[in-house]
Amino acid sequence: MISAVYVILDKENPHTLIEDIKGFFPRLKLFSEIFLLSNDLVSDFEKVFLITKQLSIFLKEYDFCRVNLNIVHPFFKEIKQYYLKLNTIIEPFNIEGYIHQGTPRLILLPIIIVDKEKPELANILYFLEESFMMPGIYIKSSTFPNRVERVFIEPDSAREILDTFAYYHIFNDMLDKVDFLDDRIIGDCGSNLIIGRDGKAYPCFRAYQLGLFKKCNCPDCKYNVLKCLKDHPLSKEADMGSLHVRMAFAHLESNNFFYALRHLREALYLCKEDERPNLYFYIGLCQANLNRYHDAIEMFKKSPKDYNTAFYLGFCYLNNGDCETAIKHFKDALKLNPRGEDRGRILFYLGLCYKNLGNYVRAIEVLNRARAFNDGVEINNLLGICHFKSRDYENALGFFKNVISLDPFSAIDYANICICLKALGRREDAIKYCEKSLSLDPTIDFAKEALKELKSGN
Amino acid sequence: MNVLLMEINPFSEESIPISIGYIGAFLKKNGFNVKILNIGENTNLSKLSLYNFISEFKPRLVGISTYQRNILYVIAISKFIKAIDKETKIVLGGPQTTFMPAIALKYMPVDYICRGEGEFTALSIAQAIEGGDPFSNIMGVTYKADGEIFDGKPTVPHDDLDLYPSPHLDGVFDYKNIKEAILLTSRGCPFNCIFCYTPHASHHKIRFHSIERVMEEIKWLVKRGINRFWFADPNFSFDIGRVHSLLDKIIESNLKIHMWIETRADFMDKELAKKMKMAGVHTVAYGLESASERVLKIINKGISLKRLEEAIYLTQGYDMDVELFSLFGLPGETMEDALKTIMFVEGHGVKIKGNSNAQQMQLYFGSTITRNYSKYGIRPLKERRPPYLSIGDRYETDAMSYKEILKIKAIWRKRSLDKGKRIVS
Repeated sequence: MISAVYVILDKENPHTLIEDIKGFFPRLKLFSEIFLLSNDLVSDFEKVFLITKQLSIFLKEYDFCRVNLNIVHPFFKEIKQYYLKLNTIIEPFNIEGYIHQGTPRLILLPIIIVDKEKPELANILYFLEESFMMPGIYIKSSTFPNRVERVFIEPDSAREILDTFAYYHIFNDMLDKVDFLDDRIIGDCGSNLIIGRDGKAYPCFRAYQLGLFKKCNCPDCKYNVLKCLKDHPLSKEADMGSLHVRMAFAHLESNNFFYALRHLREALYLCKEDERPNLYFYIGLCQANLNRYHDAIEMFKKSPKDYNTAFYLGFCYLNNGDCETAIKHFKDALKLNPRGEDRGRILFYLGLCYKNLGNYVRAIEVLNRARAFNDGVEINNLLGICHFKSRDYENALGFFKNVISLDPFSAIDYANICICLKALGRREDAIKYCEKSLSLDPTIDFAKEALKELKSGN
Repeated sequence: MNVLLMEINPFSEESIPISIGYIGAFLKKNGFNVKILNIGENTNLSKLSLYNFISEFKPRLVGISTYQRNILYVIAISKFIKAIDKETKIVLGGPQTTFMPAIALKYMPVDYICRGEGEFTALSIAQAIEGGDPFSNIMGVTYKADGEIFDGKPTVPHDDLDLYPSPHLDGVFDYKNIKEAILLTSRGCPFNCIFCYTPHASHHKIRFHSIERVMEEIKWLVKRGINRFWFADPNFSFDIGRVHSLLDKIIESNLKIHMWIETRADFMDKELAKKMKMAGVHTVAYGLESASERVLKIINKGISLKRLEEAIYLTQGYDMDVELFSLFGLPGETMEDALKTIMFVEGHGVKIKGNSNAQQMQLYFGSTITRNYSKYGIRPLKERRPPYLSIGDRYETDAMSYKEILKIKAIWRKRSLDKGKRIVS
């Protein structure tokens, strides 16, 4: 399905161009757009005429389809005569539209590239409008007098005309998707087709730029478009802000913290002062997930003071190896009334800190409190370790067995059970668990060593 | 038996096709396999994929919602479907067909046009096709058989709307591309605005869904992540006591929803406005039509500008947006009157965008003014028109030439903040 086709016309176009384009018509969306981009309409006119002709034949046969045909080219004085010729093709569609009191199914939308004010321009625009060809202009500066409804202003970073249309397309596509709560905003920008000078078809703007034949890297492309349009008249600050935030959250949902972070940083400059603390929190969250704990701590210090922030501060300090400070923040988080599940998570990490500090008694006490909220694999494993370190092998054995009942493929916990059994002097059982562990993961060194010792009778 | 119901909106994005949804749910309940094809300008569908879809689904009956604005596409798609399988029966329904002249059937590649409420009509056709005689005992339609045109007996619709299954609860819609759910809590209009087709189609009667049914639909949709609602009732607060009960239930349920509603200014008061705000109404749309009392009288609006002003201030006072539906090219309306309407809208802090973009009055089949246009000083343009099209906007009036009407249209468009993109037609 193709929603928009962009054709770059040039003297280098292959002679099969018209036939190739015609072949795409049945795959066009019922209501679609075609852009013909020419740097010289006079020399490309025959191709423009033939494409329009073929399109009209298709639309006459399948009269439930509608196409806007945009013809983009520089201004020149003799424009009228060329459009008069094209008008002979679209006239039946104008009549059909008139009879049916609706917009014609084939509309020519000339987009004229102008670099400076021309005295003849007003006359040409008037002529086009009167001939049911809604004109647009393509300009390089926003100070140009705005006489028509469709104005395309070239962004500074555009290297060729197509880039401008790509920016407009991608930006508007994002705006269309901003209200949907799923992740479509970070997906591709629609089913476009770009036909290059060489006649080859590319599936998206970025693929065309890179000379590839498959859609590629939407997150980069979308981020760059927003960046390039930052001070462009097309984009209002509020739109840009909401787009960056929406993109960031969609990336966060997909655990794509790198791109979420990029968008959040841009959003930070566009949002109001009172909205910043929330953004700092999410920036910190991304940095924490990208293991940039020092940066994340700085962000969390500026975030709203709630249990989430306190928890993540603790989490970052813990990962930086500063368990004492981490404990302080986890305790703060517990004082700020976390919800049930979150309380369990905080207690788990608090227990982990105590364990890291070698305070197993405290760790066991905290972790047992955490079990009331979540009695999963991690917590049972950690309790097993704490009991083992406290030389309480019976209890350690119980927790490691809990783990394998929850995850029967946890090779490391079969090995842990083996070590406990070994410490309890249950040699035969220990060998059995050790072999089970190594059958699941033959690379666990301490299990290999234990097995060797057990078999040699040590 | 497979039945395909289609909605075609070539000039706007997909929205919930609520009317065919009701018909779909009704047919489904009666044992038919129904699919809804909702085509908007953003729909991913090509000529090729449409062909594949029709060929694979093989519907024996296709129903298409028909309006003046999409009839060109409706006819074209009907032709396409018949070319795939000429045995497929096609019925057109919707506002355009209820009062369409029967002769129009000769100009369209379809078999039936629906003359009233769609549920029982569609069922009688589907049952006739399934029974092997597509034209036997069918009701509520005009049909074409062997080149001749016949009228079926009228249907008798349910007075209690709850007897119709809910298209939402029965899962006939695909919400993938939908930003806002459309709900109907009532059908019909008892008033007499001369430009409107609805009062005639509903025999000036209004019928309701129960509050329980509406709440069930709202809660069902909220569970699916939809919290924006568009109530398509022509007069949402016609029965003020009932609306209070509905809003109370929404407030009690603590649902965080956003609602758009349309009502008449004489059905709004302070208490209701306050409750609407509390329940999550963000916009109230009123029919202004014209800011000339003289014109309002001619079109039989039955609401004074003063009453409307009160409703506007009340609504705005509770921090809800106001939209005003206005028309130009009305009978007896002069250029001066038409300009007054623009000034009224702007003067009351209503932005000219979306539904507050005015449109030219349309002479649709069935409205009072279409039936008696010369009495109202309407002069249709001298041009040939296929019989399936009504006069629409091709007229001038005793008070305004066609050129002047176009001039007013251009002024509205120029003052519009969104280039005249209306949402509701």
